Amino acid sequence: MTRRGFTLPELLVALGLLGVLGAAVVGLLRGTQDAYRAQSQQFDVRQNLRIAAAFLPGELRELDAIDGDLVAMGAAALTIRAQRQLAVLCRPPRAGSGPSSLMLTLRDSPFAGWRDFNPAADSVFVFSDGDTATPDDDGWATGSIGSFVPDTCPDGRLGRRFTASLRPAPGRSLGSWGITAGAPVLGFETLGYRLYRSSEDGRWYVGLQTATDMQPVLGPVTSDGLAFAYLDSTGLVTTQSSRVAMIEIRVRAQTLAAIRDGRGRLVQPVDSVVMLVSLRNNRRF
Amino acid sequence: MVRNRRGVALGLVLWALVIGSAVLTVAVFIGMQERRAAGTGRRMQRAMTYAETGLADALAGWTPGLLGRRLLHPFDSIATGGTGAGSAEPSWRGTIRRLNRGLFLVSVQAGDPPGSTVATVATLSRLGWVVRVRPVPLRIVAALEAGGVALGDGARISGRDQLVLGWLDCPPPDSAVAGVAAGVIDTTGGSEVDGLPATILTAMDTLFPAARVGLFDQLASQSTVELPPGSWSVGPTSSGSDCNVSDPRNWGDPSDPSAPCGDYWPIVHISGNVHVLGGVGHGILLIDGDLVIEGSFRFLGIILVRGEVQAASAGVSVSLEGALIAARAGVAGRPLSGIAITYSKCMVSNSLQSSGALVPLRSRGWKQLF
Repeated sequence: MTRRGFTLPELLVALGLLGVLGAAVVGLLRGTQDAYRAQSQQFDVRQNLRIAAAFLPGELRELDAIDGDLVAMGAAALTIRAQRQLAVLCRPPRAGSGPSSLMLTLRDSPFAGWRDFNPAADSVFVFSDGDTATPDDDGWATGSIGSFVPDTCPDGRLGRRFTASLRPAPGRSLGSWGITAGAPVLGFETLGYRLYRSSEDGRWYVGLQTATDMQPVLGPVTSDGLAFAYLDSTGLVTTQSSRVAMIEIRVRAQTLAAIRDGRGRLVQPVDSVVMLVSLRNNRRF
Repeated sequence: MVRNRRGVALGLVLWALVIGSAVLTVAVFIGMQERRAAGTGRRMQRAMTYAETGLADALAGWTPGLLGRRLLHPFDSIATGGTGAGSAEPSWRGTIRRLNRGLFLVSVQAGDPPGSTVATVATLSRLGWVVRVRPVPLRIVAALEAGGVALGDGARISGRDQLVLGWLDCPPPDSAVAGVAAGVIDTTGGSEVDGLPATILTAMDTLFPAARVGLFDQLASQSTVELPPGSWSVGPTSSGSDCNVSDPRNWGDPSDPSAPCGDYWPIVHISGNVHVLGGVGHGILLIDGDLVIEGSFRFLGIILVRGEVQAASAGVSVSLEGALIAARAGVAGRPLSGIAITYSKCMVSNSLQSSGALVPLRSRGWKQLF
């Protein structure tokens, strides 16, 4: 009689082999999962850096350091007058209720901005030409704005009227504004970019500090994950805001969670980007 | 004999293939994501470079006079565009828009791939530049500046800055200049000269002021209207609300800034002697010979005459508000009569807005448009 089946040693050997194979498969799966997680995390880090590379230079390029757009300069924090809107007056200004008050009418087109004017947060620069025969006396009156009401421009196009409380451009006085129809009006918001630690997760982020709140714009970064260096036109570091011609930004981002490296150790990889931004609006002549 | 083979080899191989495929898929997927994201960043940089190139190139070939002729009124605009170096495709497109007499807004959009205009298929960058006219520098020393001046009855020359009726967009009046500055000044009892001082006697002879020759040549090189020598009646011509700037005898409309040709301030260059039979105009008038005014004539701006100015006809009204520079304004025995020349800084400035160069504002001219 033939008995079919396995002997106990055969079964033990088979089980052992299956165990080894199973462990190998599990290890392979875990390795795959770790590799996927690591790649995702590193992708996120690089994506953060790309956002930094696209976003921060865009904020800084439009600044005019000579005219005071660098409000406060720090190694890991920078407060600026960030440009937000471009509009154009369609009428000469009219006197407002006080000596520094002017009623201005903006044409609905051309207008460019990443959002509309917000009287609660925005201020304006208004171009002051003065003597049209020379650009040497050109400047910008600046000040706060009130709420907008609908208006009509002389050419029949829709516009908006608002009252601005302005400080005259350098070299001008109240009542001698040098502002004409067609003058560009630039809206700006004073805000800061700084390194900060979130009270919620304890991680470091690059934060945007506005008048009302602080919000993370990218991260997590390392505890030294944001650094500014201020350079003059010759490339030397300067501490005088009016001499700044270029700003170097360093961002060091790290993964949100720890990942395993090739040796199986848990690490938080760091990647970094360095950007050098020339300030396009510094006075030219 | 066929042996019955039982085992797990096939299953194991299939399992390994599945795992391997999964690993490969994940790697490829993440790699593609990485490549796309990096590509987007690179395209953003390229698009911005194209846009900055466009900003620099958009005004090539334009002078204030030529641009003012195309864009007569505030907020008029023209389309423009160009290709980058080594590219056949238009790498940027844009518009130039007039804001007022001396300000223009250049806006440029560029995409990568070059020529793209739709955000869904390309990375786009929009930049703007506010530019202004930097006029040819001109310091007026007198309402009438000449080598030799002879004034007769009815000639009234004033160096006191005057606002011109109807022209509201002017700065407050400036301090006065001299009435007449010349090497030889001959006035008769019927003429009036006023200014601060009334007259300046220069060391010039009866030639076109040497210091103004360069100015004349510079302005002539930027002329927007070229006329041959001859006799001309001038005045604004328009069809409906469109000023006819192709008519060389249309020198603008000084009577009303809001008229169709009220914003048209040409630089007129006449290459020889000219007889003006009458009319009106404003801008800059450059004459390579003599100017003989035979009919009623009103002009706002600057007149430069390399030869002699004559206005001898009786019973006609000749008025110039701005400044006149000539070799001779009348001569002994044939004085300049019946003419009123009044210095107006506003009209001089307005006319010079057609000259010079277009330059970015000295601060805050560069703008990222969204």
